[in-house]
Amino acid sequence: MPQDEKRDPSLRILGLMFGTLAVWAITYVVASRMLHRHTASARFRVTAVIIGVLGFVLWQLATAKLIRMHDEFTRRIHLIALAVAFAATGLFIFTTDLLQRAGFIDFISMRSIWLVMLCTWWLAIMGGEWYYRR
Amino acid sequence: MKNLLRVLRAERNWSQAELGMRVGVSRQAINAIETGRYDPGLPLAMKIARVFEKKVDDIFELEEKD
Repeated sequence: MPQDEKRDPSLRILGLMFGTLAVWAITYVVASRMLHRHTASARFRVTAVIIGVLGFVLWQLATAKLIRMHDEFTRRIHLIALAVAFAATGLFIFTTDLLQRAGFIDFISMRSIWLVMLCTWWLAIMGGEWYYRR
Repeated sequence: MKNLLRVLRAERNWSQAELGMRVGVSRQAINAIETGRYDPGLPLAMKIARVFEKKVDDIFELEEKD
């Protein structure tokens, strides 16, 4: 039946998002393993970086497409969440930089900065939904 | 901004989800507009006015604080 063949576009995009998330995870693991070989050539390491970045960009594009598919109200929640995540990450970087220079903490991994951004983004989405739906 | 969404919806016996479906937004969006926590953009306000066969001004009204 033609109607059965028609898939909900939001489900299709959600599938695309999870698919690109898997691609991102795979490319990240591949790139990390490639970069682990310190003796490898510069061309090899550049290739590893490109592979890792491409996987991430694909996921970003799918996420952006998913957000754009929503109505203006949900897009607003996402916009606020992204602004909150940006501000929180900025604050985290600024604070850890000063704490490092003050000698209170050791080296902070770039991955932890990214994790802070992801967590605050997610928390801000939850917070935004709670605010508008209470 | 004040609005008469809840009243107009009740007159037609529509649920928030039904109104949301008619104007292409979620039930949560309609709830947020009704409670005054969210002011819709112009295209959505015009769609809402169209389904109620009214002008935007008849449904949405600016308050002093706006």
